[in-house]
Amino acid sequence: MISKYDTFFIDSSKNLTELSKKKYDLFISSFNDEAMVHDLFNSISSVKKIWCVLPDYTLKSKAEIKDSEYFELSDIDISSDSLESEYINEFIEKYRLIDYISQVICIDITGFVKPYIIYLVYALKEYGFKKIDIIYSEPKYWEKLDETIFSKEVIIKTRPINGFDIRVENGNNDLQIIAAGYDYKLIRAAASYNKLVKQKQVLIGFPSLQPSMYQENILNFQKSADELAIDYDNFNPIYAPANDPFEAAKVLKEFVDLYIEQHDDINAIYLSPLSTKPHALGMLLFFLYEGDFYKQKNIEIIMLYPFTKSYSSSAGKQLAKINLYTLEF
Amino acid sequence: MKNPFHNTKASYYNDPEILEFWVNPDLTEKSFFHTIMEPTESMPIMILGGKGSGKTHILRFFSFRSQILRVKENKTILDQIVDDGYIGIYIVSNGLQASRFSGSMLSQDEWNTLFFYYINLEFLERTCKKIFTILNDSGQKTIFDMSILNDNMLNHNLELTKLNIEDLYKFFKEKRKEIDFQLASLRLPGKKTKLEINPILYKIDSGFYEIIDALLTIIKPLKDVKVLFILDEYENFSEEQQKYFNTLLRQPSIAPKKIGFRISGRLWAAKTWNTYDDQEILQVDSEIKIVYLENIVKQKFKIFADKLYKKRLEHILGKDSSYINFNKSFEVSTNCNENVLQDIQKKHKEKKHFKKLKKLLNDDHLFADIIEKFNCNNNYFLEKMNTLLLYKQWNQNYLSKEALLIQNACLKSQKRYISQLDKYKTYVLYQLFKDYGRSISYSGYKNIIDLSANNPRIFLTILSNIYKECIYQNIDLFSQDILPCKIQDKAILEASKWFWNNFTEDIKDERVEWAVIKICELFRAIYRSDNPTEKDLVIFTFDESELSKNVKDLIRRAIDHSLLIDLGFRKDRNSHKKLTMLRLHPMLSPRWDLSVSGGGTISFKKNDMESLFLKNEKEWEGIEKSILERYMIKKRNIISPKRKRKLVSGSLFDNMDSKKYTQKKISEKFKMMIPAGQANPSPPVGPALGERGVNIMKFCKAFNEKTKDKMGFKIPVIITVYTDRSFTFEIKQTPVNDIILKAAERNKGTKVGSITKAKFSEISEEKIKDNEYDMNSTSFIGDKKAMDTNDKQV
Repeated sequence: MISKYDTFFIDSSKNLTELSKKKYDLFISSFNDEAMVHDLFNSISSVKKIWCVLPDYTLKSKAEIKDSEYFELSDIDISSDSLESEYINEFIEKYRLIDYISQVICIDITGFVKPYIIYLVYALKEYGFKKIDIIYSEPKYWEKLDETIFSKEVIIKTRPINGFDIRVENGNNDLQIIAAGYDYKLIRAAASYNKLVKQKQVLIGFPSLQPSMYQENILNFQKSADELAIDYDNFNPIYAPANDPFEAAKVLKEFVDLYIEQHDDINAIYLSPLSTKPHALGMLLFFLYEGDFYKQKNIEIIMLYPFTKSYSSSAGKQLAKINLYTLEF
Repeated sequence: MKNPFHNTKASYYNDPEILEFWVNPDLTEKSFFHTIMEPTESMPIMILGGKGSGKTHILRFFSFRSQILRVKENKTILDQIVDDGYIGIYIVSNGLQASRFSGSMLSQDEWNTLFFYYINLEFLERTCKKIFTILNDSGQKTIFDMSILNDNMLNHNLELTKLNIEDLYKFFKEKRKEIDFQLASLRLPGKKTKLEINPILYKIDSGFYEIIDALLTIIKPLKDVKVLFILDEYENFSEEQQKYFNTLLRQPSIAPKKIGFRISGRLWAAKTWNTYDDQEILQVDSEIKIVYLENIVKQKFKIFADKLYKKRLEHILGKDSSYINFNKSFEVSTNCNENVLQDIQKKHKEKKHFKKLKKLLNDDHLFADIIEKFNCNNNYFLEKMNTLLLYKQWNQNYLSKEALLIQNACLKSQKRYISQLDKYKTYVLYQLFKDYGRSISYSGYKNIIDLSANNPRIFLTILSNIYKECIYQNIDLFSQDILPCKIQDKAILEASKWFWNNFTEDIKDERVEWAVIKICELFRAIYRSDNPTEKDLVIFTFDESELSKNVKDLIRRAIDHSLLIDLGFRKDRNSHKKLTMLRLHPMLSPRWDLSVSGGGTISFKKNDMESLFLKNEKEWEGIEKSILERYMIKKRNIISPKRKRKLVSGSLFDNMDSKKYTQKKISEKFKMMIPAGQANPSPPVGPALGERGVNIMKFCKAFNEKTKDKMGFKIPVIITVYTDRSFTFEIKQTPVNDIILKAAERNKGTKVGSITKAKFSEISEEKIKDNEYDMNSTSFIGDKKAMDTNDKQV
């Protein structure tokens, strides 16, 4: 049966030439040290382009930004429990993003830290945006292969991403789905957040962005197996292509529907987007498209994320492919 | 078959499993853990423990859900509760999502007030729900006249004279959910709103005390029952939130007998002892009792671990598992290191363990001489041991002689040799195995218990890994007589890596990890060094009073996350300062090739600790280098006779002089001339020794024995007295003048005697051989001149 997720289209190209034909009214990107993010920002055609300088990154090349429009919130505390909402709400207000509702906007999520992507897209949908283009550039490899650590330093706290701060009484069969990436410490932190949630499921990116990345992913993932109480005899993860948010949302929908059919006493489904950014987007889409449906069944969807002190701002190396996802609400 | 040790976390158990897998190290029905929880006691108790120390299992065992499951046949929940004397209300901090109560939308005061109110509602909701369940199950009435609640307690529209407990529960729940709803909307995009809350409690910060007291008074069957709030993961409450709990615990406004608190968390869970009562703090011991779980469990961990193991087997294999003597399979394989040693000796004819000695000696002839002496029936272990002992005598003049003494001590199993063997055997094994590309084994049940350091999760993780290895190797763990060392070691090494990943993940300061790694690396380098001095080094000391607060905090963090274990204090022998003693967690040992059990200690100075914990990489590099220099042997050069004279000292296995090497503090060193073989307590010997507290008779006896073959000469002796009044002495050569005079056979009363040229040459050659004189030394020439020697006469 064809689901609504099959109707979305991913436009992929191997270089910037194709993409530069697109015309946007507003282009938003997150400033980081990855060359492919800068190349895209410079070549894309948009009436207005804004860099978001996130407080999470420690940047090497901040001098370059001076010639461009950028948004920075200097006095924000990185450990604040309302970090992403304060940042994004200020951003939306400062640039009057509401004025762009009927215009063509595009967000390059390649350089963004996931909670900001989730809160920003969620916010735009709440404000009434009907269509948003999202770009994600795939790297050929990660900086240090299987030892690449995206989240630098230490985990400050695991908590619901803003907008999902909902207190839900524990149900015996509450479920947590973790999109498991390279950072096993993040997986461990997310898995141990609520000890009353006993059912854990893992979403793995397959096919991965590059063939070797699947192996690298699994090598890291196994370091968190005990925290997830994974018994390899009965290890049955769900898979979705690492670069496809729509497919990720689709497999989540199929899995959760089946799970609900088979279990009662479920009050919450926790989603932890810890793998690729397209997967994080997929989890958000799943919430945006299905949230109300599950709410009617008294099941809340909550996005959980382990926040760290800072993030690696240049983990991706060499452009492999540029993906353009058009979200329609 | 399922891995019986697979689950290492109580949070993955459902309620029946909490009881099913419960282990009581005592034989009595009341569990050992009752003495920790003391559920009916009024005094608040804080139960702190490292990761995996079993906190959640204990807390859930005392929770209401477990109480229900313990109801005996033909009995009601009420019977059980009355019998237990408490209703256990288990609350996990993250379940409350306490982090919602912060942010720039409200002031800190507003957040505090909201949080206090929310907790009150939460406590009331949960209590009412449990009471309703108890009464309903027992067929008791659930409707009461609760007019008393109107008395400055509740702002409501309830019919108090006929109030159903279930309705009261729903009322509190509804009010609590109103807050949840409003809080959720605060951070929604574009929906910034102000909170609109009309509190229903007159005392929003402590109203629950009075209401619960009133309920338990009105509901007669529960009049003697206590409501026990069990808070888990206390560390997840913010400092402000903990201040609130401290205030509650410090001043229970009413009925402390009816409400109890058990608060649990990691070792660092308590962020503050401050309260909201002006400057007052919660007093540990008098207002709250603190229990450190590992310290309590330590008393019975071996029994506890045995039972834990058996319980897991029972679950998989059924009751018949009692026939399995699980210890046996581990114990048989404790000879692993010996087996590896034999294997090395069998397979490797080339003695790699002598390679370095050869290089350091820099003298093929001497090397051949020494290894011939060290050849103890081809026992590589003893050969390596002897090499290490030789390194300890490296500055001696005659290494060949030292080697002979070591060989002699070894062959005769001298007491001192045995004690050295005991002290250095770990290093010897470690270095020997390393020479042949092998590793020390950590296998054996006792080692697994020691590695676990009173932590059940570590114990189960090691067993789980062993089980997995057995599956990979197609070995049945439960029918195996011998569990191969390789399997145990591989599993233990994996567990060691797991320990590091798991226990460092929420330290929140990378400097702590860095410091611990550097300590491990330093100790490993010492294990690999030529001349290790402390036995099984895993412990270090330092003067905490000298350290900055920042460094103290970082050290505390390493302890709180179980990377370091606090062993208390030790007095420094010289300065009498109180030194803090810490050891590395035993689970770090397999990863860094260190010993499991602790022995000697190394002392760090202020600067060492500051560089380590503040991650001053360059400075630490220098410190590490200078520490390691103490443990390294330098390549031996041909030493000039003059230099040799300075190096002369006693041998390790020369019984007379053995005490020289105990590194005691010297009190005084002085020289005397005493007639050989004739020392006695009379002056000048007696008073000279007596005033320094030396045992005169002991000295005289030893001196006379050592000089009996030089009777007739006055012998120069250097006596060293130590602070503990023990002594050593060094016999110097008889002065040349005396020898010549004696050889000249002077007639009594005359100043003239004669000596042959041949005799004179003999004396001088003898002196040169004994290194007393250099041929060209001015002193010898001086002696000759002074004696006015010629061919015939002196």
